[in-house]
Amino acid sequence: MNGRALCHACGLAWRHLCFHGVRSGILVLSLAISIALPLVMQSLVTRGEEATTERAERTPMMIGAPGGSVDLVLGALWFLPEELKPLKAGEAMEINESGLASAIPLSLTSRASGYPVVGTNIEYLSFRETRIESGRPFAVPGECVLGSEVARARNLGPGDTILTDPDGLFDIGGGYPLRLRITGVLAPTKTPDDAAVFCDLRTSWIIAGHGHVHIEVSETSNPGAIMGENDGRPIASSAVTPYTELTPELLSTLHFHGEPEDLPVEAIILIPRDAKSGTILAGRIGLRDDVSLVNPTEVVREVLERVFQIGALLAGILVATGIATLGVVLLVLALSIRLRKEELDTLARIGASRGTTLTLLLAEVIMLAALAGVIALIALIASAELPADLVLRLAT
Amino acid sequence: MSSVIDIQKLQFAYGGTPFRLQVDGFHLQTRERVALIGPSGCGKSTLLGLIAGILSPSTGSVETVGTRVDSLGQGACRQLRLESIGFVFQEFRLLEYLSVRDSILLPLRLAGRAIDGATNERVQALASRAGIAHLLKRRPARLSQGERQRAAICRALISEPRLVLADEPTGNLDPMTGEAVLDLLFEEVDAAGAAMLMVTHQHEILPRFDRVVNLGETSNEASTEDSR
Repeated sequence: MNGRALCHACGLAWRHLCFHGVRSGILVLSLAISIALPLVMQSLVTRGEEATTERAERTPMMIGAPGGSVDLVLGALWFLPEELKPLKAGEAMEINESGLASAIPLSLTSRASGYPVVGTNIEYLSFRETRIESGRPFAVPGECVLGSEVARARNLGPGDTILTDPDGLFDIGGGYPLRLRITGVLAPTKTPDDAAVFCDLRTSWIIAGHGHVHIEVSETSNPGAIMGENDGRPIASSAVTPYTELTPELLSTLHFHGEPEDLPVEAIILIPRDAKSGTILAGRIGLRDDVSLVNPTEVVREVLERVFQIGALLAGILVATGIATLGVVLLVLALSIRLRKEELDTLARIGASRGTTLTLLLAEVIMLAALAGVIALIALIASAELPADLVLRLAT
Repeated sequence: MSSVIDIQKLQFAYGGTPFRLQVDGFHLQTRERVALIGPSGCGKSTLLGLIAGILSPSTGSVETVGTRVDSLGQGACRQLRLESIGFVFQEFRLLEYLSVRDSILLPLRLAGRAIDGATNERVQALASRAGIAHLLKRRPARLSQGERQRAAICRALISEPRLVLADEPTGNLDPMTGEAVLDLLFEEVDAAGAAMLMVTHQHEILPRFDRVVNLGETSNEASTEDSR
């Protein structure tokens, strides 16, 4: 068979595939899914492992209230909505004063437009080596910086505002949303920091209701605002709307319901000055039963082991499904050849060589496989856009 | 006139069946048009298969367009069919996924020949004479029975064969369409200067042939009578 005959045979195969478009489409999709799923799964697991391990390894130590270490790590490193018990912010102050480590407190109870609000201090951004892409860092209560993904998804930037989510839709007694002024947007990092809102620790306490400001109520500026007096103090009527934004004027009246060291944080990241300091600190904290010391790398390894076990099981299932699909596809092709018996006989009677007939059939299989391969490759490339920690999020 | 088919002392049997075909001698000359008749199951289609090298005889010799096909390998027989023999079937046997144009071009493509402007002109001319030039882009499903057989005849003749083997080409057609298809087939075979051997059950068309060969009901021997 010469080259031109080979081309003609491939052309015939292509025409046959196109004529039976629906059948061909189903076969291509079935094959593509069978090929793509294990590849995408493997890619996600590998990328997830790298990204997860890297973030954990860059967080040397962490303390939280006694409880689940996995929840603590997932909540503090990936900002997953875990119910974390609080510990006092004073723990961070004490550790800083000890000089053994830098302590970065994290308050993780609030959300804004569905994204986690992380109350912390400015050191967190330098610790994560996060660069402000536009604007400036947060400086006073009521200000925040956005992760790149939040800014992109919500089309927000410096000068805009973002509203925090109320605790409960029907909580008419309090927990009003607070409008945070956006002062900056972080550069993309392809980490959970991209999908978070960062603010001062005091801001997160105000959102949580641990602090508030006072509104000046007067009849002259707001008629009907005062409905009576109590010991010389005005009693505000329902005409007075609660504050929604911490303006510079209101900040002068800001106060908290307790000392800052007694207010809650959910986790504290510890960056020991050196190995020795870390060992001393671990020894000291290890003796206490009111605080739990966690090594994020170890915790993540435990989680990943679980993920890998599930992943291995899933991979086995996918491979088995793939083999079954391949079997069905081969069966369909075999049946198709049987259905095409008359066609193949006609070709033989006209004079088609066995090579041509074989090429015709093989070309069809190769074209189906090639199309499926291309779709699988596109799916694999597209999966690179999925968050690297997707597997961890799904698994937990 | 040179011989296009020359059969000597041919015997053939399908394994495991009582069927036996015996042809002591049969010749077909260039430009000769011969009808092959006989009762069903007497071996008419089998004889076409033996002439085309699709089947191999038990004994005897079969020479087709100057080549001994009984001693030829399958590959060479296929090549011979592609180059020198045009087939017309009762059931048309057009490939459902090919347009009329692609169906006509099929033998050339299978032979690996280039489809150039001259070839396309030939397809157009052939289709015009067959009255299907306006249907070249259609697939078989959208053709009438007569149109399908016309397309099949064009396919059989596109490679300018020296021999046309037709197996009841009008068997599936109504009398009027069958007559028109026969007209086309005879005209085109004449124009191509080819010989034609046609299996048929329609005795009313026998006068159109140069000769009629009857595969005897009992002896399976080819007896010849001049139809003119």
